[in-house]
Amino acid sequence: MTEEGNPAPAPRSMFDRMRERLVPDGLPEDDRGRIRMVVNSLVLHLHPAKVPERTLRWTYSWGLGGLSAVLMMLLGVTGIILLNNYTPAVPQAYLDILELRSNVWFGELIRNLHHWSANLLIIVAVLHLVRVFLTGAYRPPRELNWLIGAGMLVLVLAANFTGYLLPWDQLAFWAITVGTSILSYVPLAGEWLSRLALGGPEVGGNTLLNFYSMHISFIPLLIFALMSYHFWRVRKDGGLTMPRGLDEAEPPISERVTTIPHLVRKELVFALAWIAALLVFAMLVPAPLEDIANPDVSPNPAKAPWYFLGLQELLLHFHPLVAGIILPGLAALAVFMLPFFDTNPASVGVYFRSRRGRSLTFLSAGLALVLTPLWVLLDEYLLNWSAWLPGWPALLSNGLIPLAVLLLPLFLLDEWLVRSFKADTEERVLFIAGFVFTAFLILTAVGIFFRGPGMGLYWPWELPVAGH
Amino acid sequence: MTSSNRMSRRDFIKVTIGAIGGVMGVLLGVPVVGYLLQPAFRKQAAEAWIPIGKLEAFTIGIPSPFSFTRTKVNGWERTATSYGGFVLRRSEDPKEILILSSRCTHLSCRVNWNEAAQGYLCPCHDAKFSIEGEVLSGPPPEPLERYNEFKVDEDGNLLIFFEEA
Ligand code: HEM
Ligand code: FES
Repeated sequence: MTEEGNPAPAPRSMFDRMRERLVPDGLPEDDRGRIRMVVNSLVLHLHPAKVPERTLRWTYSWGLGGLSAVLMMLLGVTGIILLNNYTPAVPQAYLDILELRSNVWFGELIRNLHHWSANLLIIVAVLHLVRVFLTGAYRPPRELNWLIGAGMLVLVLAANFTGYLLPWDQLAFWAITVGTSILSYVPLAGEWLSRLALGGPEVGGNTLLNFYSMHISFIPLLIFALMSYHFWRVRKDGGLTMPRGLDEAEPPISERVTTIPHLVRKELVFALAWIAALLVFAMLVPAPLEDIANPDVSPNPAKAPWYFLGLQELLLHFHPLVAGIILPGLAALAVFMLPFFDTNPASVGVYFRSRRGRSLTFLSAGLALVLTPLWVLLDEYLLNWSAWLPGWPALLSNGLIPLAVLLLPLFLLDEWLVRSFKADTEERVLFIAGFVFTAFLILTAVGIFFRGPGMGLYWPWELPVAGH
Repeated sequence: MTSSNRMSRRDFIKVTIGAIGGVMGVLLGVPVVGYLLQPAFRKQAAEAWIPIGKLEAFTIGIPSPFSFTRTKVNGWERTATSYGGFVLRRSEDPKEILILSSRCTHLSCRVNWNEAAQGYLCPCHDAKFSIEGEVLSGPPPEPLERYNEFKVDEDGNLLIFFEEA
């Protein structure tokens, strides 16, 4: 605006003025400008103005945390617009999804995008956790951020599980029936908890409404809050841990480069590439939808969502209190406690800590690779604890006793490492985590690819196609 | 205020704000928590005699399925819950009937009578129950539930007494 007395500046177009208001400094030309832009922008200031070159290496972080954030954004956008065509009521929910698929412009595509992003998010978030674990990046001062990350993983699983019910088809109904029935085995509060989750005695309209409100408000809001804090903490804890090769004794000194363009450019390219890939995938592969939920007929086989099939596999072998509550509870506890007992700062940033650590990890993964399928087969065809211990309470004969028998070899292996190789805490952690994680992956794979009708074991190529 | 050695102005404000904040916290917190927990305590006073079919329609010696739906109306919201089971007539005698729930005691899938296997099979985790509902194999911790109270009315309908847990 011109002022009295001043010479009138050259007239500028409305668009120039709008641009000046929105981006006052224009796009930066030099490093000082780039640094100022990062510091002054709400979104970009999550980054420092400069970052050590080395932490930008693909082969260190693999961009997994960033990809999780990209997927959350996609989920937020597609989820919010899905709401325009969805009613959380029985049977309208199912009819709405049918309508969405056949009569809403791009309805199928939006649903597929939401579905596949949600599934990819689970894989990516778990891989991110594995990367942070293998590089020891959870150690002081980053304990809190590890906890926040683990909390977000729990929430992502909860978001997926609650979302799974929403289409109200056979898949949804029975996966949630089985999943929530596990709650009723919680000692003392079981019945009460399962009623609370279901809003009644069985999965029904109340459950749908419950899950819906959790799925679209409480869980995403909490994830968003934690995510913001997670990013901020990365900065507060001094940026990413410094990558270091197995043979480098000292954390290297790395040249610092400006965030714009070095980091931001990588992030943008990476995000765009993944979004493009997801779009293509969502155009080609439809999200599954079976017949409308029928409370009288369990489909055969009735499988949980794929990411819970490792747990479902345990449910085939153990009493539900052990398989559904004690084992996952112990695993979660170990994950949450990890940064408080494995604290050695010397090997932070080194994949597998050391050469010996790497050998131990591969050894444990290899052992699990052989032993887990062996155990599945044994348990399927030979072991029958409840028949061998007739009259014993099922919790013992089908739960705690086989569990003890199973954990014993792991304890013995661990003792052997300590006695024969003087393994220290971080090596034992690598060994046990490598074993347990690999075993869980294999159980999940068995559940996905080898379980068929009646939950019997089949070769993958003999499996009947789901829904037929 | 003149100086008092009991409590400074600052402490007074701290304590008052703390106390009011605490009271407000409880006033807001109790309704919120209560509102959210209520479904766990809701008693559905559901007890009824439910007809499940003509007695003569059930073959003697072979378990036959039945199902029924209970509907609860809560304002504009109708919630239907389905129940099902199997009737086994052991003989002509209308007292000699075994009625089992089809809800698997493991994780609530519905079991099916399988004539070839002479047992109830659960598709979810490969369980097998005997014709009496006892666990033969698989993970369920308990036998199938029984409907112990039943009767046959003048018209030959079989009714079960249904009580919601
Ligand atoms: C936190 C991340 C989220 C995850 C992991 C997630 C996961 C899922 C999953 C697995 C489904 C089932 C989709 C299907 O099988 O078709 C689903 C459905 C749905 N979600 Fe999400 N979701 C997330 C965020 C959101 C948000 C933020 C909203 C909206 C505010 C939303 C709204 C919906 C709706 C309306 C459906 C039903 C539509 C359908 O079944 O296709 N979601 N979600
Ligand atoms: S629900 Fe029947 S065996 Fe698991």
